[in-house]
Amino acid sequence: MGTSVAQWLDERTGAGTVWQALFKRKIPRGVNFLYTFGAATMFIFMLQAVTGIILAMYYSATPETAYDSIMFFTTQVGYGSIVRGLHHWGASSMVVLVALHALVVFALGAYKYPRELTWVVGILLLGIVVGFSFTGYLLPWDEKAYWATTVGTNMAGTVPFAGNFLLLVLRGGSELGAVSLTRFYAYHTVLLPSLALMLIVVHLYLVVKHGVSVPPWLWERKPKLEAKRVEA
Amino acid sequence: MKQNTSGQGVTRRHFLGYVTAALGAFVATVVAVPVVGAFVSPALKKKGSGQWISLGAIDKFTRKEPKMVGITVVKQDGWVEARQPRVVWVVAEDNNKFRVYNAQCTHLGCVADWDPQDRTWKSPCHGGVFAFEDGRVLAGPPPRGLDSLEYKIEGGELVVNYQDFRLGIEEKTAL
Ligand code: HEM
Ligand code: FES
Repeated sequence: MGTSVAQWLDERTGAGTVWQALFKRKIPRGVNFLYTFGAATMFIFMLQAVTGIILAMYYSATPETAYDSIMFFTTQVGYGSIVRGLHHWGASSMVVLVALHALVVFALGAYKYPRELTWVVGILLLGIVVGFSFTGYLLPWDEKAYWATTVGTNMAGTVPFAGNFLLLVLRGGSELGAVSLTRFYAYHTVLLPSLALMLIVVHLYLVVKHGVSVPPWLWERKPKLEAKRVEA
Repeated sequence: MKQNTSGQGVTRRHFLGYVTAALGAFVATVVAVPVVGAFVSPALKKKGSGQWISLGAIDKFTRKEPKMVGITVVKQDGWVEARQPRVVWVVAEDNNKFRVYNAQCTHLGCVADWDPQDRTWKSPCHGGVFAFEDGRVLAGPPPRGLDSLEYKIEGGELVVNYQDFRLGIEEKTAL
């Protein structure tokens, strides 16, 4: 029965082709552990999305209630401290993983022709991951969050010419307050996730289109080993 | 890698596929338990208990007509301490006895009103009617009579143990 359902869907959607392209594609010989950081980053992204949805159900983005709502979540809601913990540690590990991913791509020269756009989209994704960290850090609205974000946004304020404009737009006012908090919450839960999702789709499309790069230690044998898409 | 074409046994490719799927299912479960747990957590909360609230001096209540008293209950509403308005009906009886009812109609929660002509309580919403003598249902969709509340007399004041109950069901169960 399972196959007939799969067949029914495949005939109407072509989902099987997508599945083949993503999970049954040919990988060059010699690919190793170093090539797993992109997928690891992807996993953490999904983890952040799922735990973030639950956090959003209990979070109240006002200076009066933000901290209390998070304390309520971690002390009064079943599994609350675990879900928050997953999101907290997931955030740090995502920055580490995305950095490792970029370093590996750089070290192995995987950004070279024809994968330059994969790299550029990756750089944008790196910026978004850092943006997630920066905007999420403010949300608990405790002393550390408040002053770290004061300092962080002040950095933007020192940019020549546009500094003050940037500072005011980032904060939504001259000081960090109620307007900044709702703004950061929107950056963190609406703006950045939608951008990230779109760019990840493009990124993965390009990865599948070009196939995974051949590791440098096999470059002499490249003609024989260049990944081709063959039926699995 | 040699492909197994004999149709017997499991190829390395299939074996690794199963292992990957099993590991994936394991990780998904580990994530799903706390996530689903936190999502449904409100449904697993312990039932609320009542809170004692004074309705004022006992001598303002009469035997003939029920008296409506508006109260304010202080509820922990998530991370906010919320003050919520509630209404009770009080009827005095002999020997410093009283009957105190939660005014919410047991059908879906409209506040039942006193009709002095009929001498019944009537729900303004779907035709629920409750008897003066004991709050039982006389007509309409309510599944049980008005919910009576515990009370005590303290320093000449009537103090009620106010509580909300589940609505729309036959049993009187604390919310
Ligand atoms: C949200 C962040 C990101 C996600 C989810 C992501 C995901 C992935 C995945 C799943 C792959 C294929 C497997 C692999 O080679 O590791 C990949 C490949 C690639 N990524 Fe990323 N990535 C992200 C950020 C970046 C960054 C920051 C860069 C570099 C600036 C980058 C550049 C590349 C390149 C050039 C490839 C092709 C590598 C090859 O063919 O060997 N990505 N990415
Ligand atoms: S709420 Fe009273 S009859 Fe429906």
